[in-house]
Amino acid sequence: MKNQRFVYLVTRQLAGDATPEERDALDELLASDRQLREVYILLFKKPEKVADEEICSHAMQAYTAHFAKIQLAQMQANENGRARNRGRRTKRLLGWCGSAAVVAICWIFVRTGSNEDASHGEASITPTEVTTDKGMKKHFFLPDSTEVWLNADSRLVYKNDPSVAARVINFTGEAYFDVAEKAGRPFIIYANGIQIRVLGTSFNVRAYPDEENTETALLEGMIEVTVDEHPRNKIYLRPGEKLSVRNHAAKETSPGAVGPAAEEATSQKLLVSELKMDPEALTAPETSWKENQLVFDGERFDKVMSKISRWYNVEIEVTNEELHGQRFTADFENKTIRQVLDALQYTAGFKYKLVGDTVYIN
Amino acid sequence: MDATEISHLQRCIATQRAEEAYKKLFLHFYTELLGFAYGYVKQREIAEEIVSDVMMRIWTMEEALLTVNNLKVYLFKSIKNKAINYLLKERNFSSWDIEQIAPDRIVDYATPERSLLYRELDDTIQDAVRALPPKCRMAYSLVRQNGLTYKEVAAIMEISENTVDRHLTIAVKRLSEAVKNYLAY
Repeated sequence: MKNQRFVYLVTRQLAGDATPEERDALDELLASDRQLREVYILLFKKPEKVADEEICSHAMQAYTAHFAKIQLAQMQANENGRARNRGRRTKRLLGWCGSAAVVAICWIFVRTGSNEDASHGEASITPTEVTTDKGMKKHFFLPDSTEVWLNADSRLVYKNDPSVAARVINFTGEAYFDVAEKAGRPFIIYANGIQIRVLGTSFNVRAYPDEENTETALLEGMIEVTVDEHPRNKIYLRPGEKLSVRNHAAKETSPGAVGPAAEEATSQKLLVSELKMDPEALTAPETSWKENQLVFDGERFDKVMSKISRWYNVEIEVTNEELHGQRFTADFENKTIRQVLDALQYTAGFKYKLVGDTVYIN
Repeated sequence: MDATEISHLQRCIATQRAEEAYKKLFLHFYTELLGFAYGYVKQREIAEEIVSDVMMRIWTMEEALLTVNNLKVYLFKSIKNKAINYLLKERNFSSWDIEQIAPDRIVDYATPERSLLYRELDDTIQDAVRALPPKCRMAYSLVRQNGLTYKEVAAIMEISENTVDRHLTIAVKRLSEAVKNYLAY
């Protein structure tokens, strides 16, 4: 039975006496069974190597008091010893030479304690902002070595504050995150009224306030998403899934839509769907922008235009109402805007004019 | 800090009375030992006293410290003994009461943020942990919260390594079931 095998291999791992074959077998088992892999990640995985031990301030305080106790006890023992046996060799503590020194040493301990606190306060906690304009992309690393690809027209703000456990990002636009696992430091993203909490993963977030939906696509690992108005309703995404949350300010694009059907459409605010994912390459249509591919995967006209507008930094004016209902599937790599529009106009049946920075679509 | 570093500090303290080494050792183990002591006595001040007493002994032992084979095990065992003594003498615990003592919740040393991130899921895990028999829970906690080997756990709990293995097998099985059920919503 698979579960028994899993339990056996895991206990061998925890015991530290797994043979190489057993270690391989566990890796294979985890690779083949997603559920067991999740269980393993949540319960039994090996800890990361912590580079430098962070000293807890409470431990420091405790040590100060503790060592002062030792000094005092030693002082008492010395005095008693001296009183009882003059001439017997007295034990000496390092740096110890009389009662005045006790006060001095305590003061030094306390002093260095507060110095350390002061240096904590000096750590930079002014927020850092990374932005991209339309037509721009950026690739960079956060201080914790999380890798970020930022798509056009996006803004990401973070604070490098070591005194706070959580790594918090505020963000609009589109970005792909490859989050560095850091024990004890949750990675949290605030975007467009949703909150994403991360456990060492690779995922894509598309959160443009003027679009209809905010989308989170998960490629690897596991994340928890909450919508700000319903903080207790937690949605867990598994690899290969995508969450779509309707934005507040989004306009209703189906004109003249009223009545119960339309109301039902607006009330469906959350949708979890499957990604068309290539598990080997860890790519999906939603993340292809990272590799400089402009991809449309059965997307509605408005979304297509929105993507093009940001990708090429153009304004788009549409006068043809019939186009709104159409969906497009296409793949463009290193193409100019004219090439893209040329290709689309044949399938959709529209005409366009490119004047300076503006596209007029008819 | 691995075993060789700990041995090194041990030697410095025993032979050279090096306060820096002693401080390092103290700071490295303090939080862990405090948690372990607290698990028994459930009172912060008493737990702090117990840790301080044990660490005091490490300092005053001088060269005798060199004879300690596994300092980590020694520290845990000392804490456990002092804590149990306290419970027997000051709180009138019976031996049976002592047998039932086990941690209430486990902060996994590999995923400490789990309780912050996945509140509901972590609650499910902690419920499953609390449903484990006390010895089983204690063994699992020492392995997953304190990162101890089976050998070290066996020494601290004064049981055989086989028994530790059996405890861990039960724990792994039950916790896996609980998490699988939770995820399969």
